[in-house]
Order: sequence, then structure tokens, then C-alpha cells
Amino acid sequence: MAREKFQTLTEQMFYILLCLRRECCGVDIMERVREITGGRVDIGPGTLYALLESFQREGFIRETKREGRRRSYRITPSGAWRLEEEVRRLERQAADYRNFGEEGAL
Amino acid sequence: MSRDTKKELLLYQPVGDTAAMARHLEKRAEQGWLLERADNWWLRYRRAEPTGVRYAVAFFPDATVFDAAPVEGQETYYDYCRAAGWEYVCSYGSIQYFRNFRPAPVPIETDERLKLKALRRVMLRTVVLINVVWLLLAVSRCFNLISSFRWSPLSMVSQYSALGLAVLTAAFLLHSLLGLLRVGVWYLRSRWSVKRGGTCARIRGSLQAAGDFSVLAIMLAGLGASSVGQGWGYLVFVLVYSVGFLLLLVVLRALLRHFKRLQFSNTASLVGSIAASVVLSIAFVAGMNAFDRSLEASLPPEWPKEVSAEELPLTLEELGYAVTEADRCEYLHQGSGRTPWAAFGNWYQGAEAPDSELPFLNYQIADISWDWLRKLCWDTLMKGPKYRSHWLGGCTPIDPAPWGADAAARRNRTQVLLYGDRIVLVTTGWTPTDGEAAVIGAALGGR
Repeated sequence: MAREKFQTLTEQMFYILLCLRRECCGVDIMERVREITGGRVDIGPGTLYALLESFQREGFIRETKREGRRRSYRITPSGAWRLEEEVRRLERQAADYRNFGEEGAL
Repeated sequence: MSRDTKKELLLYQPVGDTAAMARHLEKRAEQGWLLERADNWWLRYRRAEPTGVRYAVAFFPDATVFDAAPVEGQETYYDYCRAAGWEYVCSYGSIQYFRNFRPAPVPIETDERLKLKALRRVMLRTVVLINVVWLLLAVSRCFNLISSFRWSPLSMVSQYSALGLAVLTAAFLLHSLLGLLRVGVWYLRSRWSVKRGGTCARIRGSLQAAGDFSVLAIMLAGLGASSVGQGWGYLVFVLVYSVGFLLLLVVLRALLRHFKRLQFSNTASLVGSIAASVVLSIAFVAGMNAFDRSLEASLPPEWPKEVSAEELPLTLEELGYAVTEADRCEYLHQGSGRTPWAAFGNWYQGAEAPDSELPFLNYQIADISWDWLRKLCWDTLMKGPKYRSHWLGGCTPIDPAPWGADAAARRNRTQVLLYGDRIVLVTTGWTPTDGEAAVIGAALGGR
């Protein structure tokens, strides 16, 4: 079944929204995500740009500050809700894995 | 070109094959040449120490070739790339070139789905748009050819020029359809791959080159065929037209660069480019028409040729008309053509004197050896020609017996007759009697 836009979040989408729970400048997001994930998740600058534009259009984030070309963003309540939804989805998946893992373990 | 810079002709830069382009630039960097500037035909390098730099080719869909300055968001995009170590080198329209001196840099695009979305937008505005325009031009040319065929099918099937034009048109049609098909297939393959967690499909430049060069070979064959029997005047015209067209492209590109140097706004640059294209194109077409007319005036016209009465297969005298010197009768060979499958001739006899009572006689004879082609010509003649989407009337079947023909039909003053492989069109200034019909049939039927 085709995934609707933002019906589930990719890892990169997830960590950008997570990162923006605190105000962050666009150029610093890549480094912050790397810190949060211990280097496991890398976001390319082109992907970052496209996702920030998309999230703004969807209303998941808003621009909080602009100093010259440096723009800062923060997650909106709508974005925070979406992030929570994703976390709940992942927790349900993890719980299903643990339950099935016990019953159906080899 | 100094020793510290060089230019490289870019024969193929398929929009989707960014990995191949990046590898090419990296190879050049290892040889001591760093990319300085790029457009859709040329790469310009400057000499530098051989280095293992990484290159990336990315797309910023909102940018176009008309932009004198970065568009909204483009500088922010460059800032993000810079933060990841990707230094902006140059761009051409939506195609952006970056290089990175870090050993294992994070790629610019790490989400194939978003990359595919950007590529799709770029393809729609460039490759798809251009091919749709070519397709529309080719289809319009097809309609012109069909319309010309309806007017004079017999002469068209007997001339290499018509065949050449048909081949050229078919090649343009094929080229644009292939272009659209390639993009469509690439997009479907990429979408399928990305949905399953893979990467965008590659557009193989070599395959594309092979397809395009094949079509180019067909076009050249068509051009060659169309010039057979045309004389050197036609070749001069084609040469001047081709050079003129290339010059037009060069001038437009130079104008665009000039607008950018003058730092026109992006809108002014776009509007200026479109206006310049329209004006220069009109001037080019007008210039070529004037050149064509002067070439025609300076070369002796090939047709019609004045001939003697003996050279005509049939004359008014043989039909019993008295021709005097006062009539100032002219005997003309109005055209001919020959291909392996058809031979055609067009003759005319009529009086030049305005007060002469002599009628005119005009006939076209075409021997068409291919059955299906002959049938096509016959059916087209039966339907009649079209003028500005109005049918001018088809032919009405008449009794072929007086003409000694296998089949006969009439439209206005023109009789269309079939004698085996031969189709004859006879247009007279009067309605022939049965006796005259028999003489005409015997003279022109080839039996």
C-alpha cells in the first residue's frame, strides 16, 4: 500500500522533528542529529533543505528567527503531535515484536 | 584558452546520471583539472594540483537558466551544503555542481524519495517539455506532409525530396517519442526501486547516445534523400539554413549570458530571453525566405521547361484542334520525378494569346510499380484534396470504357484514369467526347 505523505516518518524526518523540539538553526541540524544518534543517522544538506521546506508547508515547524541567511526553526504543536504519533507507532511495533518473539521464538 | 584552463565538450549529460558525471569530474581532478564552469554543452576546467576531491551533481528544481542571481532559498541551500563540506562550484539552470575535500563526506541527497521528486520536477521542465514541443512540431509537420500528399500524390511519390522530408519528419517524431519514453521508463523504474528502499535508476548515457545517434543518422539519410536531383542551389540553401540556425542559438546564448552579467532580475532575464528569441526567430525566418527568393531569382528555374510539340505524349492537334501562330501556343514539360518505385511526368499545352479560342490540355502520368502505393494514390485522388480543413470534393466514378481504362473517375474538369500500373490525370478546358477520350486513352494509357 503506498505510503501517504508523512503517514509514517523516515528516520531522517523523525530526527529533524526531534531535533527541533528545541529551537535550532537550519545549518546546525545536521550536526545535532549526528550527536543525538551517535553518528548513526546522517542527513544530507539537500535532503535537509527539502524536508525543512516540506515541514514548513505542512505546518510541522515554523521559522522563529532570521539573522541574515541563518534561519532558526522550532517544532509546532502539529509537528509535535505527528512526532508523538510516530513514537507510538514504533512502540507498538516494538511491543508486537516482543510479544510475538516470546510466542513464536525458535 | 590558456594552458591553465581547458574546455571539454560534453556530448552527453543525461539529467539522471549524476553519479557518472561526478565520477568523470573526480577523474579530471586526479589528472589536475578542477571544474570551474559548466553549461549544457561545455565543461571548463582550471589547472590545479592533482587531488582526490569528491564531486556531487545535485538539482535545485526552482532554479532556471534564465536566473541571473540565486532564487529564493538557493543561498540557504548552498549554506547547508557548505556546512557539510560541499563547496559550490558552478551551476547551469537547476543543475548544481559541488566539490568536497573531506575524505568520506555525507552525500548531498540522503533520501532517494526526495531526490526522485526533485529529478522529476527538473525532467518535466526540461527534457519532457522540450520533447513535447518537438513532438508537436513533428506532428504538425506530419499533417503538412499528409495535406501535401492529398494535393499531389502522384508527384510526391515520384520524388526523393518528398521521401527525404517524410524520413526527416519520421526521425523527429521518433526522436521525441524515444525521449519521452526514456524519461517515462526511467521514472517508473526509479519509483519502483525507491519504494523498495533502493536508489533512483540510472539513465545510461551510452544507451541514450546510441539511440540519438541512430536517429541522427536517419535524419541525415532523409536530408540526403531530399537533396537528390535538387541541384546545388538546394544544397547551398540547406547549408546556409543550418549555419544560420546554429548562429541563432549562439546569439541567444550570448544574450542570456549578457543579461546575467548586467545582473538583470530573474524575471527580466526570462522575459528578455523570450522576447529576443521571438524577434530573432522572426528575423531568421524572414532572412531565409528572402535568401531563398534571391537564390531562385539568380538560378535558372528548372520547371516548367518549354519543349517542342513532338516531345509531348499527346497534343491538341492530335485531338483535332487547329493550332495557329496567332494562338502563340506553348508546350511545357511542367515537372518530372523518378524513384525506384514510381516515375512521374506533367505536361501542358495551351495558348498564350489572350483572345485565342484554343482550350488548354494538361496531363500527369505516373507509373507506380508498388501495388499498395498505387492503391493509396488512387484512393487519395478519389477522396480529393483538402484546403484549410474543407474537402474540395472527391471524384465521381465514370464509365472507363471510352477511355480504354481499367477504372475512371472525374472531379470538375479532371479525369482520373487507371491503366494497370499507370495512373493518368487529364485536365482539359472542355468536356472530351467519347472519340476524344479514346484518343487520349490510347496516347497516355501506355498500352
